Amino acid sequence: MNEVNDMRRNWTGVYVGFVLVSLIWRSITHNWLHQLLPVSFAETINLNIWVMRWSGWIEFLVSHRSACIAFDILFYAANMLLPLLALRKNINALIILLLVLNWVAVDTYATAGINSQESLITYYFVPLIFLQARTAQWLIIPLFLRLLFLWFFCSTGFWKLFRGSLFSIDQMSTIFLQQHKDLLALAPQALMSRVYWWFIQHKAISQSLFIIVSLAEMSFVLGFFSFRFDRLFFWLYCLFILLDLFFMRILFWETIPFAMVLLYSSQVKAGLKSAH
Amino acid sequence: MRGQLNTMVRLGRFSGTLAVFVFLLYVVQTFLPGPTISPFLRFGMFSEKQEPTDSLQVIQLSVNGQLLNPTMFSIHEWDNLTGPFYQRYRENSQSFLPLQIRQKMIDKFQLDSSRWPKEKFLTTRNDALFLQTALQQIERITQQPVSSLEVSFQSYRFQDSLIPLGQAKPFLRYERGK
Repeated sequence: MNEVNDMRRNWTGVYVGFVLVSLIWRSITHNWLHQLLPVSFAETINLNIWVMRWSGWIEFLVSHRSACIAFDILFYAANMLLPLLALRKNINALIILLLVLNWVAVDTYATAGINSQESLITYYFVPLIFLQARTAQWLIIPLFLRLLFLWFFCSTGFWKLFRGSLFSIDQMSTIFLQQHKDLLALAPQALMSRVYWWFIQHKAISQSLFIIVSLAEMSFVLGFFSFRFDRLFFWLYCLFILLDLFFMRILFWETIPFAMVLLYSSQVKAGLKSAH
Repeated sequence: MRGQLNTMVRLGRFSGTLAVFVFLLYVVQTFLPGPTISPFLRFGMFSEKQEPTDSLQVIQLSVNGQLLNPTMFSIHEWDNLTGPFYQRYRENSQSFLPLQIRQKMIDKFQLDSSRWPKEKFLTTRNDALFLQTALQQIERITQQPVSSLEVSFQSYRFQDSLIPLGQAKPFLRYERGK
């Protein structure tokens, strides 16, 4: 079971490292929650977020800046300290509290600025790995996270199929137009404007790109039947994040610790063999 | 897949069954109508069919007489600068989705609309607070004090390029000391 313990330690280190990078990035770019509220509310069709608004939680944070700052600090401190503590001792009750804190924090962050629940999905689920259990039982967690991640990503491809957007020649060019309208209207001579214009004007090429990405997304369904492609899927996912940044100007890097479950498949399989 | 689900149950009868149940719930909720309930998300990622658009509304943000454009800022800076104004502009339109959903729920479940006022579904209720924090945000991002601010929305028609349609529609105006 050494592979499983090593995996857990490694993954914990990666998670804490990412949280630290996120903290530094948000500090440099002034994207802490208390720096975004109340100006940058986002339109999100999510029941939790509506309940948070109706309960007055968002308004409380808006009106009490020091409470908002404390909330920010609590979120980052808990996500860095508790995982490290969990390596040394059983703090399952605190980890459950961490999951609840993250649930509230992600939904709160998703009301502000450039954040979205999807981009912060790591915080909802990955802390499950900090729970302590017998090794055999603990293996349920990476198996569960793996299935969740595969579904999370392959369903985006299937939605494109079911909604018919895969077959619409105007789909990707219209997306480019809507997504980059500010740049296209206000800085038409900028290099990236000219790149996006090219894709908008060449509908067949941009739609081909959309189809290729959608097929790649749908291919993740193979992960439900085999572990063989997991490493490939992980690197495809990283490529997707880069393409998202270049083509859509969307930041999705905080999902990588979640995707990393795919990199640990060989350790999980070794653990399952030992468990049997 | 059944093998992987069975494996989870074999590893721990209660915890494995719970994990399988939660995973299947996640899959099922993907197809259910209505709002999502986190952490169960529906990751559409531009899957909604986009119809070619006749016109686009583009923000024109002038700070101290200078019209800002995205090349002057990073991605998130530009989004944080313009997002609040786009949000507030959308909230005033008929097509604002949360208000449409509100009306559907009131009609479907015969709810008392006075108990669910529109303000509960909007985010920027207080004009003065919105302006104050918008100015703070702009000053932080542009690294200059704001003595004047003009926000308007220009309509564009798409025909091989973006062609302005008429005059920009004024949205917000601020001058320090006035």
